[in-house]
Amino acid sequence: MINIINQIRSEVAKVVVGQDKMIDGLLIGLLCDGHILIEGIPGLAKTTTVKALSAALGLGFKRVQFTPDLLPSDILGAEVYDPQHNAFKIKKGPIFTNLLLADEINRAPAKVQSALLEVMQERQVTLGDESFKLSPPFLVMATQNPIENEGVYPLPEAQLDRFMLKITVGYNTAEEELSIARRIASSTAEAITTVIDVDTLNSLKEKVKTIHIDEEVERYMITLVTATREPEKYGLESIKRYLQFGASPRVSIDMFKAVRAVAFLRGKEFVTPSDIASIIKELMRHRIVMTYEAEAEGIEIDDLIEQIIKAVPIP
Amino acid sequence: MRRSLGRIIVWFVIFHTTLWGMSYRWSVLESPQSLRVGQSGVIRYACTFEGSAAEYSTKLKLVDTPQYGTSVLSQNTRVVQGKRIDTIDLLITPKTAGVIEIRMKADVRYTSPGAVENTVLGRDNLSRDDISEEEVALPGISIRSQENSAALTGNITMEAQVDRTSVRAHEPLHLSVIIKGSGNLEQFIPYELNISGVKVFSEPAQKLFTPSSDGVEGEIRQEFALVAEKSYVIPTFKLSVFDTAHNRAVLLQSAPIQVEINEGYDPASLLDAPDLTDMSTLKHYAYNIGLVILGVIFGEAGRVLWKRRPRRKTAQFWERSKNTKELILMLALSGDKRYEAIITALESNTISLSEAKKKLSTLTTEKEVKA
Repeated sequence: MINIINQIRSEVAKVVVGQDKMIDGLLIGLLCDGHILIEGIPGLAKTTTVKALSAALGLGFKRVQFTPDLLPSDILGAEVYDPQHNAFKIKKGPIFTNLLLADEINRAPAKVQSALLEVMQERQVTLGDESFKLSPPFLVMATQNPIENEGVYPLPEAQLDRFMLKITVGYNTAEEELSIARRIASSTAEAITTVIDVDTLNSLKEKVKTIHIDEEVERYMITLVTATREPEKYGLESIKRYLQFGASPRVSIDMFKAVRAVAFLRGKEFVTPSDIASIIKELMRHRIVMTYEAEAEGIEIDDLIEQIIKAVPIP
Repeated sequence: MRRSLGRIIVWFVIFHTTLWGMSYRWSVLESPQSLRVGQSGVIRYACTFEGSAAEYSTKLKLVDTPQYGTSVLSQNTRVVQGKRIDTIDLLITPKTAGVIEIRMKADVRYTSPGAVENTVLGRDNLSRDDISEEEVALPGISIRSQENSAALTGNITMEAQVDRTSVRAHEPLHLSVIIKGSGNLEQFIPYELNISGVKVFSEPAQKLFTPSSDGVEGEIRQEFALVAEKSYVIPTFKLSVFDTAHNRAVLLQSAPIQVEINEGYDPASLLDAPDLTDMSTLKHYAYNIGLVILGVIFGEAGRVLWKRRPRRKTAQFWERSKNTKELILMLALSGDKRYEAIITALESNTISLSEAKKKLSTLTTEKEVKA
């Protein structure tokens, strides 16, 4: 099974250099049916990676560029009048796909964001009198640009909670950037081959569900989530004033799924604390609400999560 | 000037006015009969009210004509036996000779109690009707003005001082011309000093006056700095003054001052020529040059050594881990895929903590090093 994962990785690596964290995050989302929010400045291969992944998986892919004048019907679809048959017919929107890239999601107004996020949760679209189930797998990968404040509509916390992981994409290393520049300059990007089909993906999902989590590790995960709500119980009085709201129960649910996928991607049959540590920031960073005091003092949420995981005893 | 001190001219001229219900009377208590041109004299006016007249104020209207100029020397108010008396001393200075007829006017202002209250309370609704003003003509006076050709008039002295009378060539000598006394000192025209072969640096005249019955009282000081190569004489300073104390014209003049110029410094004579035949001089030169060269050598050596100094290895984040679990956690938190093999090895207990750290220390990438 791990061979299949390695094949996917190597196919994606044909066009994407580095960005292992983002690729792993997308794979975890696919294996756990969780949506992914990717945050990073422009030009870090966010779109390229998603495209490459969909090509390697042989899945349907659509991309929507979110703009301030976008309407819900531009994503979901609408009933349109057919003069030939003198009747209304359904025109499905780009949401009817397997992998949807919602580029710059925070540029669209709240009504469009809500429409998309509702579909993400329900996996069903209602157009006119008819409801349509989205064929699995259905995964939304939304991107947002953190450096702009003008003309953007930040996602509310309740909607952010629907994303399983929030991946922050950083710059490549110097060596990686050299490789990218050489590859683009010589136009030597290889074509991506489809290495799995939907059935294989479903079997991988089933395999992930069989990954064992020891009860002690389960309790450890719950303790980590609880510690974000009551840090003072774990000797973290100093960070209590920085936390307004801790992680929601969705974090616990998603953590149980995600750590299995992490262990699976590492070729393991069981989950260890290191699997939790490697994914905890992506699971929690968009779901913990910091106080204004923390923002004023320039405290980073990732630092707080690190302090929490270091304070909780490891099983 | 002949001042009529013994003769107090009492002018009960009678400007008996009834204004806003209060009577008052202007009179002249004192006046000079004759003055010289440029000489100042005092005319004392008085305004006597019937009561305390707290709501009244008086103000003399000053005039400046081609024949004479006026200014107020002093003004005071007192209440005698329930009657208010305003006394104003007016300084008058004739500008031309002849008989001068003086016709002064004054303003008498009445402020209503309501207006006073408004002002005290800080109200800003003061209306025009709250204050009433009336112009009153004062008793006329005739003064005989006599010719005066002197530059200044009054009780005045003049002297010229130098800080020393013997200086070296190009060394400055300071000269002060001081005019003191009382009179029309403000009319003084500063001296212009020119001496052949002498550079003269002058400052604007400094004047320090206070008003007096003669006009002003005080001092005028004019400073000069004189620089020359040869001896010279500071000429006499002259000032024609009409002496009011003795009622006669005098010519004040300073004595000429002889200034001796001695030989100045020659720059070349201040330095000893180096004796290059003297070994001690050459040794001294060599010592100084050697010091400079040594300084450069030591400086360069220090710079090189500082550049090559052994630097402490940058602490890596995983070095702080105390046990395997902690190390695994730290490596996993870093999110670096490069550590996965070591994490797996640690989890399967195939390597110890120290072995893992040893392996980690061999990994040297920019991602691994965290301050």
